[in-house]
Amino acid sequence: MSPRRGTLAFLYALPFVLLFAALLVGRYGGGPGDVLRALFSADGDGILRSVVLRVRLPRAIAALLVGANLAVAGAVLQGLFRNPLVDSRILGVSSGAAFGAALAILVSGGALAVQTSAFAFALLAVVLVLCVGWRLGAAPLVLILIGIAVSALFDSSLGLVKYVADPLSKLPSITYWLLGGLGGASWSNLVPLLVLSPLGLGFLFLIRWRLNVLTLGDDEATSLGVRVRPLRAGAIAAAALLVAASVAQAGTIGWIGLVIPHVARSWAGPDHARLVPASAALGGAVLVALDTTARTALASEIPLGILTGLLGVPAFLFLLGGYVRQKEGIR
Amino acid sequence: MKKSVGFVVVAMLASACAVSAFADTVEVVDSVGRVVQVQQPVRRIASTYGMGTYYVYALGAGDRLVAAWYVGLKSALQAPASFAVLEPRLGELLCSGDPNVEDLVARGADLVLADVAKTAAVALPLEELGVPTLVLGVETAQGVVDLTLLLGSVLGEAAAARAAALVADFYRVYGMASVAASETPTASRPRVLFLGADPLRVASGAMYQTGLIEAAGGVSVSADLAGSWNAVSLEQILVWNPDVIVIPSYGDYTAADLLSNPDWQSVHAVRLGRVAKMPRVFGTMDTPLPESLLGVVWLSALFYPERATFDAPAEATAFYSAYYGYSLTSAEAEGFLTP
Amino acid sequence: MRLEAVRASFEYRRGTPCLRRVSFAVSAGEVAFLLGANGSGKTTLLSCLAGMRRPTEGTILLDGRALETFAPRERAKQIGVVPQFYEPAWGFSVEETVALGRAPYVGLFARPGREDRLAVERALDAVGLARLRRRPTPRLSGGERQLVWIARGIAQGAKCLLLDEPAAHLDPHHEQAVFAVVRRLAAEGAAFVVASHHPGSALLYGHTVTLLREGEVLNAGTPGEAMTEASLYAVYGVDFTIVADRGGARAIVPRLADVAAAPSTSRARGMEAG
Repeated sequence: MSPRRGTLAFLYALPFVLLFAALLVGRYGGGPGDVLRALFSADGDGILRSVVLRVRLPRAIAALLVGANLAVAGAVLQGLFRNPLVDSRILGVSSGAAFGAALAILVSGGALAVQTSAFAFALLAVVLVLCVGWRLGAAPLVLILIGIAVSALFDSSLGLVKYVADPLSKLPSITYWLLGGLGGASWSNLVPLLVLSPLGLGFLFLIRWRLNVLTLGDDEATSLGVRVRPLRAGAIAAAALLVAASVAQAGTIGWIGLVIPHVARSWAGPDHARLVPASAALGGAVLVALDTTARTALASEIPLGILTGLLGVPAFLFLLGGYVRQKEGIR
Repeated sequence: MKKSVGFVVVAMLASACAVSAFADTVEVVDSVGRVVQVQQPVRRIASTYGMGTYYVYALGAGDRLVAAWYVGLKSALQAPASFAVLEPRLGELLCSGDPNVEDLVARGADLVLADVAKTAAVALPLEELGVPTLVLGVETAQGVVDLTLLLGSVLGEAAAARAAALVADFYRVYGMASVAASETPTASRPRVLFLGADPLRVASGAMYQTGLIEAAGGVSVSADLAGSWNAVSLEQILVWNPDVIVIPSYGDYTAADLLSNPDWQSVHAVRLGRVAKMPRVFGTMDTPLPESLLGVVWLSALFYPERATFDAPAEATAFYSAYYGYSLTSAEAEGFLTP
Repeated sequence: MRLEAVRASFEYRRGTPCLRRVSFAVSAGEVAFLLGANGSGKTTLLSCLAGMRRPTEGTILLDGRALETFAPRERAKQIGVVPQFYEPAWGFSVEETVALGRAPYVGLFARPGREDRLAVERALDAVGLARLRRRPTPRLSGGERQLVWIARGIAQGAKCLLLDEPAAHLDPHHEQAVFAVVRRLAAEGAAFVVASHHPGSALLYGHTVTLLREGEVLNAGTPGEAMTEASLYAVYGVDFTIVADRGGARAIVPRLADVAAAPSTSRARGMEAG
């Protein structure tokens, strides 16, 4: 199942190609030629240049990073928990972020407050899960169950916030945030994502081969001389950081963390040394493509969470079909 | 012969009694077509219709409220200072969430206003208990006029008089705005963008806000959009490039926030400095409330400052005094000035 | 090299001892079988020998030094564990699976290098699986998978491999193939500890046999010495027939029990015969 070099090269180039293409496309008038003129020649449209550099570029970069973050986090968590159904929301990160954002919106905090609050509560959720889990031995199943409990805690708190929110101004804002979108991305609020993504992605990229050992289960990994608990905690912390930063920026976007790793695995194989970069590339490419569609297809924005669902559900069913056929074939 | 005369006399007496009995009941048709008999006089009003509550105040019947839902106000803590003056009993009157039928009856309501979109379900049990309930909904300027007159007719003569005056003011304001606007051909009218609770949400064509803009002589750039609030990207706003931007009173941001934001500098309205946030005293001026006539006043002043059709602070002061019995502070009056 | 347990005891919970003062040793070139009924402490002893559990009393010594003084990496370079059969969660190839054995040699932020790839090649050759290197492990037979894990242990550089019931899911052909490799590697100097349920296998493939009963060593020695009808009955509660010829014991076969007979009478009979 070794991937061809050509396929991988294509995969790694894809997100950058799509990023560049995203700059050329948008609601504001002019085709690619106008955009290039605006960027590189003195007599180009100044407003178009401003649009490309201040609106399209930060947004496309945000999409690239969020897509890569969620996909890598999903891939790593699936390996750590040896469970193909795990996605980036498993440790209560998304629920914590949603609650944090809703709370900030409720008390009329500005965009910065919303982002910070979402991030803070996302990390709080993970810290809760890891602390309680560590006491109980940090076995994968235990962590998943605690994650479910913590998610439930924040979900019901979110419900309470929605109940007391003013239906005229606050509640629609909260609902819109929960649907996920990159409409508000701009250079000023992109800094956390720009700083945290390389940290988390970099760490997981460096330990990517060692993650293979963790997929063997605790006993076997320990017998191979690997310190399982710290490594697993470190990987979870990095994955959680990526998801928290992404959700704080873009709201709750589902399916990327679940489906992209599976597609990447079918192209690049289960070896994390290739799976991690492949997931990053594919996740980034897909989300740039979807976000460009979200902001260009119609005059009003299509919430990103809806597009990922529309794409993700059939992709998931298709993968499931392939998996079942493969299993039957073996027997 | 005697028997038939006797019968006629009894019949005439009976009908005389009936007529006098019915004089104490007003029959109206509510927004969903229900025919409701409202016993007069109405002394204890429960308004579960968030918008209807403001009409009750405007018609001078605020002191008769025993329970009230207020649109845009979920707890007494959120109320602006002006509310404390208008309604000292806010803490005991303010309700939110789903109405409790038993609670309404316990408060002795003899007229209940229900919201066709949210609380219409209370109508049936209340009918069973003999409490007249009006199921109401208003979405257009004509609807505002109709609701004003409807409530005026059930709340007594003084209220009816107020209602008539309010409607007359409505027509006056709309008429003046229309005349002022007619001097400008449609193609040259200011292109207006009405934002929502956050800066990247805009009002669609079907919403009340668009009607207000048009009544004040503007053209809404987002009129093509469907549904209610739509999310848009900054790029789309640049495509529209409006001449004027209006921020609702319930937005969490100010005009200064947009004017100083570097990403918005390319928008025409921002370059011209024509970004303004709607003031709010009690109800929001961009929703179908009696105050919305002030919305037209304010917008007209914003769109055509050089025409000076309206003296917005003066209109506001007169309005709140006449209909809410409230004197605007000078700060509040100045809030009605437009750039 | 020598791996030994010195009067090791272990209890999972207070009051329920799993191992009682067990002494056991294996040296280079030796295939040592551990026999015992379910719950007799075989797996626990294996865990202690692997360094996964620390005995509550007594000690484990590797080349005379207490095992707990070894850093995990150092220990992993000496002792390898070959797990019982399981269905792998991900379809790693044979090569990728064996490469995992190089974990003790690869840095935290690194990937296997040239040295490691050579070690993997040697390990694959040692078990004869070089031609299957790219096959995903789920597509291997049970015996081949067992060999992959043994190869992983070799790639680890382990001088002692601990096998937990390696033949449990294997047919006779594959069992022979696996043990042929084990014997050959032992002849080249590796040490093996094999936990098993099959006295017959111990007889065929083992150099030494240790019988465990309820956490204690009942008997130990060469297969012929340690496994008698009495000791086997004591361990398994089943009668065995030891088929011998001039060369010594050849096979150990369980006798079909008489269902009607009461357990206590059987036991008395066994003791008398022994």
